Amino acid sequence: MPFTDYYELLGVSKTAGTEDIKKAYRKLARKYHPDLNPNDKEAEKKFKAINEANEVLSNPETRTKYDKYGENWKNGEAYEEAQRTRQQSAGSRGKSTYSGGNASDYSDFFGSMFGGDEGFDFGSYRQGRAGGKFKGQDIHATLNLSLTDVLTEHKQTFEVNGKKIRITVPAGAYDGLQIKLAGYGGEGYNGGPKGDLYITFGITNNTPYQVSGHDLKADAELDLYTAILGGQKTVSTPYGDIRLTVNPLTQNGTTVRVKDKGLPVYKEKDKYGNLLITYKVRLPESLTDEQKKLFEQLKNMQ
Amino acid sequence: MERISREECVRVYKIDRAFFDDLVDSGLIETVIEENTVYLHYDKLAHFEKLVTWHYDLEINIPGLEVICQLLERIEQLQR
Repeated sequence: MPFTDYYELLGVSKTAGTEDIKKAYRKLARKYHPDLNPNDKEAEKKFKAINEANEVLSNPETRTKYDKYGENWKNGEAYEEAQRTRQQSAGSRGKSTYSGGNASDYSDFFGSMFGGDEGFDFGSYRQGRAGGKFKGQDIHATLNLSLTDVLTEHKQTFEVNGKKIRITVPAGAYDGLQIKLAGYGGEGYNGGPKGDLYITFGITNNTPYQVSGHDLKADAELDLYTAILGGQKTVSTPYGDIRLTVNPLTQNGTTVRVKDKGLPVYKEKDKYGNLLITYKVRLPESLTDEQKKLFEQLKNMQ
Repeated sequence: MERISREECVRVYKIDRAFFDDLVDSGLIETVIEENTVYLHYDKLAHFEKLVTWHYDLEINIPGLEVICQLLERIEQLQR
């Protein structure tokens, strides 16, 4: 991991006071905060880096270590401690033994002990400070479903950022509906809580019906004779076919309401919209001589 | 009813009551009033928490919050 100059990162001088550091940090946090840079991974990385710089430089103890040891500040104290121990041990064995030592031995020793820079745990900086704790980034995802998928409640598994999530899709979920799954977003910063996952439903109408709120609309063809004399008409609904009674002298364009055969109402159990059927009366395309004669008789009766 | 009163919000989030009222006055949060008590619905809490973070941690004032909200809304619309 390359050495990060925290002063340079925050754009302050090495002699900057606590207030200057705080000010510089806030200015950069405003620029790179994940909330203000949605879906920007680079901004998120930068935000983490400036948070780390602020954590170290705003704490007098860690800042002193950083100033003293620079790049090796993370294990500088342990290095000094080990050096003292080795000097004492060498002293007891005699100077000649000590002079045979090599400073690079220590680097190897601490490298294995701390795992180098990358293995260093910043946990201690995440604790204790109330400031600098930020909630993780909120994630926004779209779940595309068909209209027939939301007629009944069902479970659905989908993947967000490589993580599989199983949710219950409620009956009546509508296009544009957004639900929040608290704590399913990005990791928090400096011990802050996880962000939230917002799922927006995208509903595609895969049915022959026109959607109007919770109601569905469709046309049904009616032959001339049923329209005039009345009778039965089978129509399809999203829940199966049903038979309707057609009143005598039903006019072309008449709309009938089929109760509770529309879309389920979101979060209202057993509540449904209606299905609105508009009759389109279809005239015969050809007539037999006898039929023609009968129609003429009817006309003369007017 | 899933809601939290203004007084509870002020106590839980350790914020100034005036800041809460400023958010309401500027239209940044929507509240309901029942029997002289101001309530915030739970579904508005996530947005409210963000505003609190931006104001207290990033020192963004009310006009700044308004601009941010408008711009984020536009980004979201453009991304759709």
